[in-house]
Amino acid sequence: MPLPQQVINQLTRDDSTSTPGWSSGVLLFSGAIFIVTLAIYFGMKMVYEPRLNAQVSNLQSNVATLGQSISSSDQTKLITFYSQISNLKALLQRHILFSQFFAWFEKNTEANIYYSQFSFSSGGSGGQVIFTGNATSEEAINQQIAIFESSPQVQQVVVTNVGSQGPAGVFQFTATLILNPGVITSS
Amino acid sequence: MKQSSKRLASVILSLLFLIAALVVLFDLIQPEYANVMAAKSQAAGEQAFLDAETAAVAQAQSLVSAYQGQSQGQQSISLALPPSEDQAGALAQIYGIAQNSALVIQNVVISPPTIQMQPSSVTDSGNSAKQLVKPPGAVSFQIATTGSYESLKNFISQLETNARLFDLKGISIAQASGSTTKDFFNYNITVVSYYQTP
Repeated sequence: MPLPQQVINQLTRDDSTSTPGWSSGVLLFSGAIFIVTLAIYFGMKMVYEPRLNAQVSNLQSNVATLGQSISSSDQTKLITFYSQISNLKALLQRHILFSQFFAWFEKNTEANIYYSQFSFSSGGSGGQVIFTGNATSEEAINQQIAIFESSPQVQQVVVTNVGSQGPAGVFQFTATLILNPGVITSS
Repeated sequence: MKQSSKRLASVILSLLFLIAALVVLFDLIQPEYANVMAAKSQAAGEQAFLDAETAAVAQAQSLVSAYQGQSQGQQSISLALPPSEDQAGALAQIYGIAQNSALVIQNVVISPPTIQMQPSSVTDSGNSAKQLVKPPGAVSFQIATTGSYESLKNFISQLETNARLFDLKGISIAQASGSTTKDFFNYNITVVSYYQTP
């Protein structure tokens, strides 16, 4: 049985208009990839980056505004006040209270000793005392030196001179006391 | 066009699209991504700075208001560590204390003001505080005076507890020559007074 004319026409139809041979799927896929990459680039370039830059500018202007919210005179006053408090705290920690040394010195002096010269100089947190003492005997001098040496307030005792002085049998000695740190300071 | 030619053309076109996509990716997107990340990190940094600054400003404002309400505290601190050298004030206080203690001042030598090294407790408390704190200045007074031992002790005791801070740096005591009483000495006293540098 011959094929119907309609079927013959369909089979023999020139299909050149549907461009057979073009791989439309492959073209569509690669074209889509290309378009997506372009879209990503322009999205970042035209939208996201300007938005971030605007955000940064906005934050910077906010910081600048905030910096001006306290007047410079108030800032100066506050910094000066803060400096005063900080410095005062530090100065008070090493404030010299020498009157307590006098009390200690009197308490630790032998009954047969009296002083004719005395000098003190502070250095660091301790200090140095140089004095000339007069005693009725050598034993009194020895005892006095022993008292200073055994005292926890004294770091070092250096006797520089011992000798008799004058016709009345007075013995004179000169010594240096190196005081321990903290003996004359308030800390 | 032949079918095979069309197929070849579509493959070549697809390859060109893919190559162009790669070019866009590596030559445009990658540098742009770096720019965007830099801007993003800058924004995050600025935001963190703004937050810290906001907190600091709020704290400073509360401090300023507290400072303005504490005029008595300010005065006490300015008495102990005045905001200027105020040598005249220090000298007046030294003379006043000496008079109260029955010491006779013969002369006072004032050394030029010096800037002190930053106290250790300040430098230990961090870099921001170190940058903020201005160092104190010091004025040295060498006082030549005479009087009894008890007067000297009173003088030193009052000087130590005076409102303005004085530190005794040195003292030398010697028997006064030509004195009728045994308890009469010459004193050379060195004291240092401090002030806050502007």
